[in-house]
Amino acid sequence: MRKNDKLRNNKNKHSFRKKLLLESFLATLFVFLVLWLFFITIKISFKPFNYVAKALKEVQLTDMYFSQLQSNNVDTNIVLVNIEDIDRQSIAALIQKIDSAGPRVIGMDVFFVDRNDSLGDPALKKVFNTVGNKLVLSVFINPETKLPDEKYKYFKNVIYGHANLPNNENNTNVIRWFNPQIKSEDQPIWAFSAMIAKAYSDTSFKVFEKRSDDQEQINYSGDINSYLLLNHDEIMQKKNSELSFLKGKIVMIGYLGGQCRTTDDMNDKFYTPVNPVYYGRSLPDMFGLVIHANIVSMILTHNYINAIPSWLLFLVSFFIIYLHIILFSWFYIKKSIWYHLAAKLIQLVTFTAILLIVFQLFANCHLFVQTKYILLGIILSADMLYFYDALTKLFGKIFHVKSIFSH
Amino acid sequence: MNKPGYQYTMKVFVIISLMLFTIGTKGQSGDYYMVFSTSGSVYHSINKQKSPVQRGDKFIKNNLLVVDEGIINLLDNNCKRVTISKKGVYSFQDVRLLFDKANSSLTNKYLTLVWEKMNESHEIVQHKAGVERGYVNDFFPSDSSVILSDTLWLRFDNPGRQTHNLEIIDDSAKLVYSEVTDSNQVIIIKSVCPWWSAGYYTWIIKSPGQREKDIFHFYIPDETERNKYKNEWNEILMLVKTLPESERNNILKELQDKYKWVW
Repeated sequence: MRKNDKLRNNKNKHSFRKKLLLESFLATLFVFLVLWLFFITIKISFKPFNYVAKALKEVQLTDMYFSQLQSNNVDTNIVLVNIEDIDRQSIAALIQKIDSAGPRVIGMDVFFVDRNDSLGDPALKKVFNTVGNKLVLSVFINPETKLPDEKYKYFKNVIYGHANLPNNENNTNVIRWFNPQIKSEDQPIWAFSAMIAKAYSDTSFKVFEKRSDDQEQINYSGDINSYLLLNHDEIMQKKNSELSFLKGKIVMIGYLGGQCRTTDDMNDKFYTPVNPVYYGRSLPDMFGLVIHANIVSMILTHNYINAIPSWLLFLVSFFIIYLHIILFSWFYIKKSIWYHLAAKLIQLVTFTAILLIVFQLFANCHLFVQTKYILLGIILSADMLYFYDALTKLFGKIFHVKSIFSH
Repeated sequence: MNKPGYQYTMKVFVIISLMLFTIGTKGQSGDYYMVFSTSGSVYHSINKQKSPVQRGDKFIKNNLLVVDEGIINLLDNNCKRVTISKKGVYSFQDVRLLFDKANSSLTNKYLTLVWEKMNESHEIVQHKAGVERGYVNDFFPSDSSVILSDTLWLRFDNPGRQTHNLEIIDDSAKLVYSEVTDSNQVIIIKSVCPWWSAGYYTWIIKSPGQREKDIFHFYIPDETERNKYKNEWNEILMLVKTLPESERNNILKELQDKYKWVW
């Protein structure tokens, strides 16, 4: 008698486990269906309320990594020089002075529009000729013609690179990507930072060229403090012998604020993932020149960010959500009083663990894992079980099928 | 009695704890830090002598780093960086702690962040919605402060970095210290200060070409009194230890303002 009870119990347990796994699988499919509907709904019905879609789109947990957790490195190959508001003639004198110290590359993130300074323009032309191939100038590419504006072409025989950064019309997007090249009818125009990297190390540029992505995610090394920053007057006041530390370096010249390191100056300043305030409203945090410097650092150190393939992301997401649903279902059926508490605790622990794994992958393997689908799936799954339960009851009545949820 | 299951659980627990809380690079800092870059008013203070910090300088043990309106980036011997922009006087040990925090492992940083975010309270802070014009007083320590630290840090208004004369007079009206400076602060360290003894002092700031002078007072207690205050302060610290950081800081600030203790 007892033996029979034991056997029946074992059989029931086995059958429950099988059903739990099967129904959890069905519930996972259901969660994915809801997720899919959720994103479709947002795309269609929330279009007039763009901020909802935008808020979801803007959330990237790697921002938390760049902003709060990133290693505090410095790049000593690059020196930044702030030109503040000096005129063309002073810029010419500055380039000449820097060139005399023997840097390997000089990058100028300054747009010289048309001929407009009778003293400064000849001085600039002269110094551009003297510096030669060592100099890379930035240029803005007209997004419609895919060509540099004619007005930028006054200074000829200079290496140009485009300084376009993908952004919205209000300049409020977070700069996470850049275009390695803009393809025009004649020939592709490479990014300003790519041209600087090419002039410094052809090997590094070839690696970058092989990736040939339309867009490349920027792996930020840090903020302005990661680079040695000098003001134009510091350079001009120093003797040539005191500038020997510039020898063999990349010197990037541009605008870094009227007064260095103030947050008040918003000219040529952008939002980046390095911003200490990584969610909600904040001030733009990084000057364009520092973004270019970060890209140069990335190319020279080959620290590119690689995204995991979509199919792998889908499989991993499905598996993780499936495991959660098995656990949630067990609590839902067997320990229904503790269901909510257990679900919240499980969500907290797994969120923490998943993000830690994602950050470790990002920091050590430069592998970017899109987490919003996994995390949203885990959040939804706890509540979707109620919906799934109701559905099983409905279908149970119609098709006379008994679910483990029908208790 | 042998309990293999219990032992196994403990083993797993210890391993997981070690994995989670290991601090990767702690304790690797050397005997000095290198100044990578600096801007604004940042000074070394070595044996009472104050000098502006320059790129390439070494920050060594027994030195003090005074950050006023400025920013400094220091490097350790692994080329790891720490940025200091908060006003204050930093000892070598303070800087070492900042490096330890910055160089800790990603896991450690992440778990600390999670914990901080879980305990984050959203205080409403009042901000100025207007601009200032004119002379803004910024004197430290406030009048009649009790100096309990071994360092006397006097700060005063000098926005144009003009030459000012600082004088300190003891309670017998004897001039014990005089310095002409174009800075906005002076640091005096007890161990190298011949006149440092218990008593009341007056410090006077005179700006050139002006009749007005700013006069403040401070008091240095004797060792017994100092120890008494120190014990009281330690007791307070113990009492507020468990409070959230922001609440704790507010209470400590209020008490410091009330008793005018300067640590």
